[in-house]
Amino acid sequence: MKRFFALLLLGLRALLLHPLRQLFTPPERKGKRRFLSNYAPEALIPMSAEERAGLSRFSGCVNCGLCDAVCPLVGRAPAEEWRGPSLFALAYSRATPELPHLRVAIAALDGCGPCRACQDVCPRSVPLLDIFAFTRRKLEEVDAVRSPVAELPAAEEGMEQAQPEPGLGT
Amino acid sequence: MRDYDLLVIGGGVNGTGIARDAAMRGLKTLLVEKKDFAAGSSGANSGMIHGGIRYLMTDPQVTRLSCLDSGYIQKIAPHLLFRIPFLYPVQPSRPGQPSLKDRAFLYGADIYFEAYDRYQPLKNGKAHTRLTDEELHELEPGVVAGTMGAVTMDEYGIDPFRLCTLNARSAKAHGADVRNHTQVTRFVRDGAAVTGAELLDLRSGKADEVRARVVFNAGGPWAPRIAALAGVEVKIRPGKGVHVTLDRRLSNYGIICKAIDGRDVFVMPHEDSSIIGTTDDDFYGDPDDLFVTQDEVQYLLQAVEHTFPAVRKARVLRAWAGIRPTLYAYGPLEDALSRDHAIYDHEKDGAPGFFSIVGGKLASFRAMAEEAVDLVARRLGNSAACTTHRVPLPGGEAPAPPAETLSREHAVTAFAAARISYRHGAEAEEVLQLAEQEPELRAMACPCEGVAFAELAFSLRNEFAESLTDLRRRCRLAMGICQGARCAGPAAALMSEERLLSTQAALAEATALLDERWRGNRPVLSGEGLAQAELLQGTYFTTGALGSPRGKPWR
Amino acid sequence: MAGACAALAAREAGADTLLVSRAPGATAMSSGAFDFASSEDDAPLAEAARRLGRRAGHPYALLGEDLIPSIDAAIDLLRRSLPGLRLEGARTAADRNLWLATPLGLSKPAALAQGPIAAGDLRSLSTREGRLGVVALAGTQVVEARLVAKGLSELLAPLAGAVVVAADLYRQRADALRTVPEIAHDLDRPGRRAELIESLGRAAAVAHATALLLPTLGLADPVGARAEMERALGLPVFEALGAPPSVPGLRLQRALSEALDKAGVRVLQGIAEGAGDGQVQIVRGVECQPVRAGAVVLASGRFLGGGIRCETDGRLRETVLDLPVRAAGRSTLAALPNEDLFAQRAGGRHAGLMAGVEADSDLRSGSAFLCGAVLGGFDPAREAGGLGVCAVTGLVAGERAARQAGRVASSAEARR
Repeated sequence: MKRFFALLLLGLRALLLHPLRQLFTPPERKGKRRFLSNYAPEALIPMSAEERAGLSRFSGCVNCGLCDAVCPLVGRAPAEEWRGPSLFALAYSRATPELPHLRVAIAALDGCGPCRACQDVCPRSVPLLDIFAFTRRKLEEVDAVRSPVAELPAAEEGMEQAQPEPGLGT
Repeated sequence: MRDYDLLVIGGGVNGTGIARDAAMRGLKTLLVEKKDFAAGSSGANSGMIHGGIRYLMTDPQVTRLSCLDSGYIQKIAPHLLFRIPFLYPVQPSRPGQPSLKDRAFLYGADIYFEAYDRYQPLKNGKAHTRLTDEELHELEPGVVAGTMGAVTMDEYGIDPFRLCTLNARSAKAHGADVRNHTQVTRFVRDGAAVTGAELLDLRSGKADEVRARVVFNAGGPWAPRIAALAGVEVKIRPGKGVHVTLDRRLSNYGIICKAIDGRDVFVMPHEDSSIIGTTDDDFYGDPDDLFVTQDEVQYLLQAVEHTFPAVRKARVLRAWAGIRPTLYAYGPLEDALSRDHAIYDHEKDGAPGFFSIVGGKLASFRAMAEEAVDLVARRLGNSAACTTHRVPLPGGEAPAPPAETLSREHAVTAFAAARISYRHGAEAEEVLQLAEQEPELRAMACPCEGVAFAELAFSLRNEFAESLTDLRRRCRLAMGICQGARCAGPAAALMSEERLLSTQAALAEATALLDERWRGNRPVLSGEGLAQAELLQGTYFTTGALGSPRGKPWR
Repeated sequence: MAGACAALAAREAGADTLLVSRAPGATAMSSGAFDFASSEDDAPLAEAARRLGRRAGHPYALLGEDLIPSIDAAIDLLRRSLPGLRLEGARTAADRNLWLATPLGLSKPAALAQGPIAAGDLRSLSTREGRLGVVALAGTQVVEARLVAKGLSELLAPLAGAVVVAADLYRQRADALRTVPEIAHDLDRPGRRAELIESLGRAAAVAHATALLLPTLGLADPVGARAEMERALGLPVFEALGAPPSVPGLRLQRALSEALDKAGVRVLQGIAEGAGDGQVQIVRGVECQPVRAGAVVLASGRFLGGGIRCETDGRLRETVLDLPVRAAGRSTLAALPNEDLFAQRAGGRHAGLMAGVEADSDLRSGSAFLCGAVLGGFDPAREAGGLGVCAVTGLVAGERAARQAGRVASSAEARR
């Protein structure tokens, strides 16, 4: 009996409520745009197909520390800001919601010039320079979707959306 | 001998939740757990707090309550929850040829998810969307071609180990006694009534006895065994579930994939990894001795590959298994079993004072605990109201300061500060403060997961951690890419200092952690995992000489 | 190690030698010790090696009567070719192993070690009274030093003991984040050594240490640093073995590069692949360069080095010449969970980690010579030898390859 009524309600939705709603919903509150406005504020931004293709190469790090040992920036930048290249492979490139916290570490990459010492010494041929570029680019994208000037559709039904702090649930 | 109102057996999410609720209502409570909190089912699930969308048709009340309770958990432990948007791609039954039936299915899914939207606000969830095929591939380019579009919604992920530990800490803060690594060996009876238990501290070997007016069996897969000690039968239908962890977030969002047998398998971005799961098979073995087979791993990878082919190139870190203590029923397929819970008062079974709880889901633990404690409180004449949905768990009282601020103030990397903030919320400051008083605690034990010595020390001092594997659960030690290659030694050294261990005991801790990690690595060794294993073996067993015979080896 | 020894041996035998290397391998992560063979009863090298030679599948088993002379020759080659490392320990296989303090406070055997590390031989330290000061400098090492001191105290008893010597050289808060390589770089900076000496002098006096074990003596000149410190402090000074990130490993890698350069071996950075017919081509970026060689030696390592890979379908693959690979007689690792291949405990024997190409008694498979970890048959983590096996098989393979190349060259000469 319960199931019958449930199906009835769903049928009502399917035939009447849903089409009506679709009619009166503006395009920016539908589909992909709605999805992005829902989740982009938490830095849950998509990766492109090219990035996806390159991602498996990022996974070769075994935490041997050789890259950190040969990086000339280690010891020159403040220790809590720059620990060496390995953390980019081991930690920073693993999840986009982390990126807003890595601003300072990613900014430290500005001091990383034509030197290729880390990539040349890596026994696993991890493409460290690509990983640096990837994290830098991703942070820029996160900033772009989360900047105050970006157009974000209004909250649903005027309800105050308590946006959680960005990051992994903090 | 201690006298309690309530003895709770089992340190999973239900046991710790019940202990917390009872303690907060003023019941004198003892919580015992034979291993560690969330060492059983509560630590081997998908780590999701979800709203029960599957009950929408048959029991919308259950969905509503699940969403409501998800909302409560979000309020009491906001730092532990993270949003996982899910994509549900719809593939035609014949590849490349969407039939009318397929289109109707997609439309139906859209309606179904829209019906779920009513409950999303209860847990601060976002409205569903329907994506065209083009939009789907823009958002998730890794999805295979030939889909018809997708519907989306979101749920929350959680660290279940932290959840159980925080429940236990909260129970203690409200006056409960909490004992992990302690096993019930026998019940004390007064006639038929169960009036207490004999306990064995598994680390010290010491036994003692306690009295309790009510004994609650929340042993999960071990519930039948515990009940048997009381001469009572509790039947469950144990269901083995296997998961696989990838080294990083592979997909942008959660994806619901169809396995070869039609079951749903999820790939979930979870903290800084991806978790793929799960299987569901009747289990007849020993819940203390679980292992994962090649078949189970391949089943999961194949399921995801069908929708998201790049998974085959991903680095698989480990595979792990747990047992669902599902309600017993003879006849239905595993997937079709009810996920409902049941609370048994064993007075009618000849053991007054003894209760059991089985079934349920991780997400509904708080409501289940409320129901359980309502029963117990009535029995004991306690009429305090339940407040577990309003009082924050330790660390949930306020958001942590921004990671950048903590990083500057405490001279740790922002990454470590962010991870410590995730795990400890408002207490992150307190954790890092330890390094101000004891400077060597600032050092980083585990770079992969941002675990500082200070966090390990905090956990050893405040969170009932008694071993490195306990620390693994609480702090994510050795849970990152290198699976202990870098951190097992330093962590053993730190624990040796904190607990004044002999070298033998400290090295035994390192060995136990490596064994536990190895158990999960073994079923999935290939590619990078083998290089990692070679490095880890060389570090500990060659350079370190771990496992070499004790005493002077030279003449 | 294997490739470098093969190249050095071939060069010494007169062959025009090219070494192609993608990147450093397991050698750069080594601890500073060179394991040739050891046994629980502390047998001399030769005896321990012979026992390994009786183990089916172990590379030593392939060398037959040449085993002991090859070990002697390899020890000699390493000592001569790496003068900067001041290798100490065994002179020939008749000697016994050193016993060195490990980062876990245990002891491990090694035939040779870099000079300042070898000097800390526990066997000799335990024969006289003394108090070894385990120096705590910065980072996780500060806490690890306490575990090491506890362990060494037990090992050096009853005559000697060990204590922690906490130097106050690193006092900034962020210094707690420093790793051992960072400390090594820092100690190489001008003036730091003197500051370290001053700090150690105070700390050692307080702790009544009669010798000092430092986590590192710097990357660039550990021998010089040790001499200066011993002079200034009046105490013996030793360096500890390195766990990853390993400073001694990095030092060894650089020393091998220097040795190859000095010997006139041409070194090319690139990826080698088989070009059919036993010949090889080298891929560098988009360029593909065929190489005509009278003999080819494969020293590409195992999983860490990248010479052997296990694909996602479980198939074992040798990545350069596609030679057949076996582990416990199997060509795939797909049959897990399987006790044969991987023990249940992390510290057990893992046949899967001994995967490699089966070579004949000429150290050949197909037309290539093989040496080092790509040979398989020796567990990288046990008493079955590590760098030493690579050095021995490298030397033998290099000599044999040079002989073949010489024959090829002279027969080509004769044909003209």
